[in-house]
Amino acid sequence: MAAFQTSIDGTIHILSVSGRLDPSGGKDLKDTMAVLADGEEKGDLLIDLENLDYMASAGFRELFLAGRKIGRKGGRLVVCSLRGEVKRVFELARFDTAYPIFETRQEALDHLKA
Amino acid sequence: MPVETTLRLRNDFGDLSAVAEATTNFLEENAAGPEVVFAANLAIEELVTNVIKYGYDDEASHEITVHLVKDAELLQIRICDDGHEFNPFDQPEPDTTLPAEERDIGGLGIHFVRNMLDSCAYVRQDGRNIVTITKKL
Repeated sequence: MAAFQTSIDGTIHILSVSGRLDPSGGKDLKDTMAVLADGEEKGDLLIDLENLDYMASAGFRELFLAGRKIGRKGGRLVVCSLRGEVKRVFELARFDTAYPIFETRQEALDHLKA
Repeated sequence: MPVETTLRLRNDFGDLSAVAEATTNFLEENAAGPEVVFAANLAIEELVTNVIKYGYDDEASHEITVHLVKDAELLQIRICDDGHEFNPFDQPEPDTTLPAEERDIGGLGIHFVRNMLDSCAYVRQDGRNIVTITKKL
């Protein structure tokens, strides 16, 4: 089971995903990002994965689709705080060629606010 | 002595979480580390998802079996289904160098399986697809 926690810092939407993101969690991730990806609202999305234990291609699919929609509205998608095997799959996906990855949430916020 | 277990599920995404839980329990009880548990769960999720999504030409209920065998040196996972002939490893690799707008959404799952496991094999036998993957311990 994955859990989602959202907060807003100015125009930056912060989404923390924790636990285990399986295909049904992928759907929940999609719904959670829909506010920014599909709505009128514009802004950046920072996804903090410090407490994420597991994610496979279903999660990447949703991140790529949401990132594209956010990008078309002029927003930015960034990811931070990858660890362990989750970090490994982000490396295998070469996620960093599509979107920036930061070591800490603070570095990601500094980048978005610069 | 090798230890083994057989897990059975239907071609229903709702069955995936029970398989993941049973896989995790079996591996943890048999002293597999977190890297092995992660890779096994990922491989089963990606391969079974492909079978459920693309493997069947009818709307009927089908059984998929996942057989795990572990000894001190190797974990072997064998996934069998009665869908149409399909070799998941005979698909093109996704281009992971493309920028966001041009990224392929598909193909990443098998790319992960190929890179996180040590061997991947496919055979078609008696009307069934049999995928065998291994991870060195």
